[in-house]
Order: sequence, then C-alpha cells, then structure tokens
Amino acid sequence: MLIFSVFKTLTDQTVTVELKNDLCITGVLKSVDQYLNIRLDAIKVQNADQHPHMMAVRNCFIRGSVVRYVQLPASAMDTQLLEDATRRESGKKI
Amino acid sequence: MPGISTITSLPNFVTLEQHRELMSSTPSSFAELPAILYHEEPNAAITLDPPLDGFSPEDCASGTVYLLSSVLIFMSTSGKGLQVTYPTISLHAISRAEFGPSIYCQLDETIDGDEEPTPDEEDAMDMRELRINTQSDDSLEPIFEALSQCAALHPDEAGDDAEDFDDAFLDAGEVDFEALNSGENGELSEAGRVRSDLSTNARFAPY
Repeated sequence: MLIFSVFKTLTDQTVTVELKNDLCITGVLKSVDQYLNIRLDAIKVQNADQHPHMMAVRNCFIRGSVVRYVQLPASAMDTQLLEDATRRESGKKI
Repeated sequence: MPGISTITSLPNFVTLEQHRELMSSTPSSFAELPAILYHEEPNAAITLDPPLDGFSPEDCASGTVYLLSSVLIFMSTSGKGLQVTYPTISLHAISRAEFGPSIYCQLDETIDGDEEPTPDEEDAMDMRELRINTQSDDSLEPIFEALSQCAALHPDEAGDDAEDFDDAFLDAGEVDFEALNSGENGELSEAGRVRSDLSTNARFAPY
C-alpha cells in the first residue's frame, strides 16, 4: 500500500511510465488504484518511432501489472520521508 | 482461459439493474452468478492487428461489443464472436485518429504463460492491437470507463512480483506474530492493533 499512497500524492504531476514491452509514455498522472493501474492524461509516447500506433491518443489507462518503471519528478518526492516509510514497512515484516 | 479466443455464443449475463435485483436477496449459489453487463455497443466494428486465426476481417466489420464483468466480447453479425480476458488488455485509450474516433487497446497474450500456438510470419511480437470503432463518439467515454472498471475487477493473481507491499498476502512462514501482539512497552503495531481487537477475552471476562 505504500507505493499506492506515494502515487496518490503525485496526481497532476507529469510522470513517465515504462511498460514491460518497452513502451515509454509520458503524461499527467490523473489517478491510481490499489493495483497500481494508472490513468494518464495528455500522453506523449517517448519512443514513437517504435510504437507509432498511439499517435492520436490523449488519455490512457495502463494496467498495473504491465508497468516496469515509473519515472517520477524528483521535485515532487520527499526521498527522506519515503526512505523512512519503507524502512518502517520492512521492519514490520521481519 | 486463453487471453484471446473465438466463441460461438454469448455467455449468460445480466444488466446492472438485474444484478441489483438479484443481489437484493441471497442467491442460491454464489459460484454461478452470471456476469454483469457494464456496456453494450451495437453497430460497432473492430480491427485486430495482427489478425487472429479464425476471425477474419469480414467478421470484424460489424457486430456488437459486450463489456461483461468477466470478459470483453465482440459478437460479429457473422455469428462468430471474439472474447478477450481483461488481464490481456495492458493498456486502453480513446484514440482520435483519421479514421474516426475509436477505442484503442494493446493486448498482451504472454501473461497467460501459454506458448504462442504458431509463430507469426512477421516479427514475433507478443503484442496485438485492438481498435473498437463505434457509430457515435458519445459512446467512447462510457466504453473507456467500463473498460477501466472491468480491468480493476481482474487484478493479477497473488504470487506476481510486486506483491511485497501488500501485508495481506504474507505466507504463513513470514507472519510476524510479534507484530500482532504487544511490544515491550505494551504498544501495539498497526497490524497488532487490528488483531488484538478481535482476540481479547472480553467475551469471557468482560470486567
């Protein structure tokens, strides 16, 4: 749930989602759910030459299970807070 | 169930209205609840690229799209149907391209673990693209929303990577019973707080 909470704080930020099929999509994070399904608005495909079929798409819904990475804006992240939170989470499990 | 397959008849389903009526009393069996229809779109056409064996471009040309809680179905006027499971849909979007607005979906069949039945003639990409063309633009938003809701009904099985964050799926061997009981100074962890609410012996010794 931690990453879900992190993403919830990042709505309306511009992020880049890299899918497991190597597609890279930059867009504004509109919403995220507990499965980390992502809705992006105003999308732009980064490697459009390899993936030409999304030219006319503005908004999309990406299934959480196909996401490899999400690139987040450093300015929107409190890395110290996130580090502390992940340390607490893993501490609960051991 | 394979990610994409052809079918010859629609499965049982009920509309949202009928579902609410059914749910107003306890059903005789929870296992056999019919699928719920989230959206029905007649006079639609699809394109599938690369095409699927057994489903020709003619079959794609005209039919009805059924967004059921269980699967997505395109039932062609030719009598053949195309069925897609929601975990197969990696991405869906509204596309406003030259050939009219449509719903664009990327399908990824590799998630099933099935081997590709025959190698493709072109480069063996595991990705397929499905476009749904509708008569009117007004249907696109409802279809997009219905796809989003149905996708959320089909999360991946536990045991995938990235389950680490979800404490609910700890294996028995990993459960920290310490966390469920009070710590040294009597303070309960978050997990412990919930559990201990249920396991007081207030029932037998209320005072």
